[in-house]
Amino acid sequence: MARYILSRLAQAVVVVFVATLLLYALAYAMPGDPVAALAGENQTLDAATRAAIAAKYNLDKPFFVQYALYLGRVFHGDLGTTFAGRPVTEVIATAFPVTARLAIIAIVIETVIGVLVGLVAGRHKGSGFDSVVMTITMILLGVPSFVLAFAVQYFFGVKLRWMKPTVSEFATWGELVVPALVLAVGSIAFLIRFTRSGVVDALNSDHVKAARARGIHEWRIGLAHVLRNVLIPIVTVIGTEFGGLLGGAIITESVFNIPGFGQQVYQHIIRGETAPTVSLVSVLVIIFVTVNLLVDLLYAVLNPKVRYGAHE
Amino acid sequence: MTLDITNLRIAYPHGRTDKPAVESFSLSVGANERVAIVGESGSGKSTVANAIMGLLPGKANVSGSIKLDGTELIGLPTREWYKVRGAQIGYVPQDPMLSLNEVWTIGYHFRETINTHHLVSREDGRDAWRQLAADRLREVGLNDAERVLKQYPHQLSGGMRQRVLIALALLARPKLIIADEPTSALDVVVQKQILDLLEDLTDRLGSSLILITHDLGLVADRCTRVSVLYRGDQVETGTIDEVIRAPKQAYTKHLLEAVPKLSAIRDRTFADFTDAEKVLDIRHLYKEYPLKQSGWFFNRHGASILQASNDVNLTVRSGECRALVGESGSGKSTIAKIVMGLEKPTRGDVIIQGRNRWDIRGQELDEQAHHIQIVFQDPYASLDPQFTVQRTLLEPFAVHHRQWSADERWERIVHLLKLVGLDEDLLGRYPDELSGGQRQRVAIARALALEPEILVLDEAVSALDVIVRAQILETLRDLRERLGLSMLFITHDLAVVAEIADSVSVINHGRIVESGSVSDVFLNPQDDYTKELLAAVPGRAAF
Amino acid sequence: MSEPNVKQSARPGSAVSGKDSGKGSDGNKPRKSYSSFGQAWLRLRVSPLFWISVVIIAFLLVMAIFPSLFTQHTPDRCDLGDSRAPAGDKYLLGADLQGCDIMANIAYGARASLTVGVVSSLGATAVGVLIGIVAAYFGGWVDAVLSRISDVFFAIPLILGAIVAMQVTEHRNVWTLSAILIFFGWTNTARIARSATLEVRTKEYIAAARLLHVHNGRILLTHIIPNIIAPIIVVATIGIGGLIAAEASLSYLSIGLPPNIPSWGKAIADGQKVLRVNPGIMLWPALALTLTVLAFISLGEAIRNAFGSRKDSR
Repeated sequence: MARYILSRLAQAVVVVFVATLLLYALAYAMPGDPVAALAGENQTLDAATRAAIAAKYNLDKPFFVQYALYLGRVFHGDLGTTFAGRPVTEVIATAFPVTARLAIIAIVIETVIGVLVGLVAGRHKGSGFDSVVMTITMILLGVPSFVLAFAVQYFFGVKLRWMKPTVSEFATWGELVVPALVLAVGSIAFLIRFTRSGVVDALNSDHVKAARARGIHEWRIGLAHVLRNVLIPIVTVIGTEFGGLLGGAIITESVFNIPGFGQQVYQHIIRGETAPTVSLVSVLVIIFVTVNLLVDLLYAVLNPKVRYGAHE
Repeated sequence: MTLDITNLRIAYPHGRTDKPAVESFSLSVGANERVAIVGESGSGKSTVANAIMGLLPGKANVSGSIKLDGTELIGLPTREWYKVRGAQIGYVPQDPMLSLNEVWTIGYHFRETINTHHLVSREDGRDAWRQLAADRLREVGLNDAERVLKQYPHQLSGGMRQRVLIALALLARPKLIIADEPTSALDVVVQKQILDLLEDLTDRLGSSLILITHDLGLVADRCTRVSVLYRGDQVETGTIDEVIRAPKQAYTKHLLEAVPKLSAIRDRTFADFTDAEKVLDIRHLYKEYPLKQSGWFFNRHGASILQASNDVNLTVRSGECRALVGESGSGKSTIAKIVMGLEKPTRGDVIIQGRNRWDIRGQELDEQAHHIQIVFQDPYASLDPQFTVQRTLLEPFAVHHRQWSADERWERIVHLLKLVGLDEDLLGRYPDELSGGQRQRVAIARALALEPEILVLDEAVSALDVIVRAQILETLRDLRERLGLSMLFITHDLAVVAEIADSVSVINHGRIVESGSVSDVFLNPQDDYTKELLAAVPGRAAF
Repeated sequence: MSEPNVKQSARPGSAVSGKDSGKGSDGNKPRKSYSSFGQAWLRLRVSPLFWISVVIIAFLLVMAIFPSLFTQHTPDRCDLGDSRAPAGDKYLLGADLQGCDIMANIAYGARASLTVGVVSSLGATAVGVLIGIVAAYFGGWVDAVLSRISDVFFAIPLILGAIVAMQVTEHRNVWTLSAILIFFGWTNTARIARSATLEVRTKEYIAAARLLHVHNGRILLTHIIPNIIAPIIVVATIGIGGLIAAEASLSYLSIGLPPNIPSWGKAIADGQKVLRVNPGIMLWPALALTLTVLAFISLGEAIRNAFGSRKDSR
């Protein structure tokens, strides 16, 4: 177990290192003019400004030196500044809690709805409820998240006035429920289907048959022998889906005007500021890898085969 | 206890055929009786077992009557079933590897069942269930009970798991035990131990046993009455003496004839191969597997080693059929892989037609395919599901004999089909449209395509039903005669060895423990392990 | 769901007496044999979901190839005087903020959407299948290295990676966008291909082919790929929908296709500004986008059902 955790941790560190290196390389070593890219698209630059920018981002040095210097700064908590002169760390500090709230609500919603509906649909495979669920989830998988976001905003915010079309600058838990639901829709649909097929498989398994033959009650089989087993792969899926959640947050936050991380990324994209975008995206990658590391640990806790070292 | 099944009929709507899965099945089981339901795959024997336990899928149409001590079980409400399953009927499943929930400890399985059937009362204290569970584990021969309770299924061997499952089935002391192929997933020696245990326990507790099996030998040894099923029909039913010793129905006779028997040695004549040329010679073969360990970043090969082959010496002489016998994990399949060149030995020589397998390179390696070929165990996995029979049989000629014209290749294929007894009509079929026996014939034909002198058969008949197995064995005998093939016949089944092989080597833990002619080894075994294996063969007494 | 009974397979233990070989269980009646692909096609042929998706996709393809069939306007000839003109004789669906024909935006936008979707899905599938198969078939250190590389790409969510890459891309167009989506989008397919190959690789028909000295390339092409391709076709089809949505999302964020290429995502972003007063400007491109993505996802679903595979993959 300890070995498993340490090896996962080591892998995660390397993955983060290489992934951020990749993003950095993309941004700074691409053919083209990095200085212009850094300054933003619409700036016209004189030679002196160019040299200043080049020196500031170490663009006059070899690539790996640049990256090493960049890493050094990152470890000192310096992620650079936005073009407006605001430190990126400060941007992160204010935006992070908002997005964390959004993501937590989304994960809770997708897990609860996904697992419950999937469990019932799988238990009653082939029923009317199951067909309805399968059709609805297919449609939900097919509706792009920002189209859905606009639809929700327009019908519930503008037409019906059930909610405010945009979120206040405080982005409270309550205000974030609807955007989080929109954000989670794809994952909900996927989790329902995933849970459903896992439940169908588990119900047909030999160990469930053996438990039934021992006279174990059906509700107990559902919880202890079906749900408990299906939970193991579900945890992994929730981790994988989290990546889509982070990408989707950029769109959801910009549609509902949520002052979160995604909104910040969006603002920097619009202004064409590469350096802060790379920093922010790198932070998101680190969060994603960390979440998946936690998922791996949870996986190990749930799965005795890993806990008792037999995962070969 | 009495169980009375009368005129049971089970049908599935929209089934593959209109024929019901089980039809007009009747059987009664009295107190302390051991009754067998025998049939090949698809005979409906497990369907009957599921019907008795009320575990048929909801869409099944069931009619007739199943009475347990006078209570009609067909149409019993769900709530009532909870008082029957586990309490009055115990169930021992087929595959112990899959029948325990891997996320829970053995202790959990016991506590759950004990609570369900209120086997301990609250006054007995919080740990009363543990006491009971430990007692019952000891009863099935797991003396380290306290430890086993804390363990997870994957930490136990197949035999131990089956013991656990038997203890669970007997927990509430049901009067009827249904064992559905309880040992077909286990090795011969363990098989015998588990069956002895079941027999002994049901005897002691005065329970009745319904044994569902395909193995007539096993039935003959242990049961009092038997019912033979064929494609849902009850062909014959009666006492062991009636059915096994004086069968009335053609199918039963056929089935009995097809059962491989140790006694076959007495009726065979053995040719002498001592002076024949050695076509395959394995000398001082060692194979060690470094055990894989998950490393920090990459998996690495650690210091622990699995000794799969340990100084193995084995010869196959021209025209001879040499059997290599061992249980699972004995290292017999490793030897097959090394002989075929799929794995490298750690040390030692494999000499085929005078050349060391591991000295040859390039062009000559291609020629190896003309010397030695193999037929695998699982006919479902040994043919590519995307290939028609024709394409499978043509494949060898895409690499070899490329100068052959299409007509020559066609002629060769037709000849091969004839050799293995297949009809030309099958050439256009895909594997899933063939029966298991047909598939195995195609696999044999493919192995013979390049006219090898040596054929390795790696458990090649083990996955087949009894009658088909007998037919394939007959085909193999016929091929030996017509083509002068030499064979290395790898199997766990000593009765099959008695039917086909000339000489035998017994392997245990990577070591050959005994070697010699089949009649010598079987009639006068020297090694303890060989004796144990021979004693475990089912049907010794009857056939 | 009722499936046509396309095969009647005889299982072991088929004959009481005589040989188990010979003719099939259904006597002398000649019958046609179908490969798993043939069987899947027989099921697809009667699947309403399949035909609905095919009709929609065919319609979109026509639109992408001949956009001028659907409108006499082009998206680059706009009349500011017609800004936000209502639907009517001149403009079938009305005009947008710049006075461009909405129908023209949709018709010409179909080309960009479909091109990006199809090219990037095919590309990602090709890269993923290649990497997955090579990793699994050769195993050992090859597998270890490729799996770790795949871990790295998996750590960068598609949209985020594409944002960074597009931001520094000088020539933003359909091809660079597709290339970037391929670059960050192959890991899912690689994982599926790898695990499917690992499963197939241990099958005895592969060992049998190797013992006949069939060389690796031929084994890969004739035995491995046909046996792992079914779930990959499903993922690739669904992937077209997903990548069309990704392109629209990026264009909506103004980091996808440049303003001079008509794109639904861009049209939706423009329409957003006047959502409250003129919802139609956003509605139509959003509808086109949704319908397109849905068509590919339901096509994938229909194919999955036809192959009868239970593995869920997105």
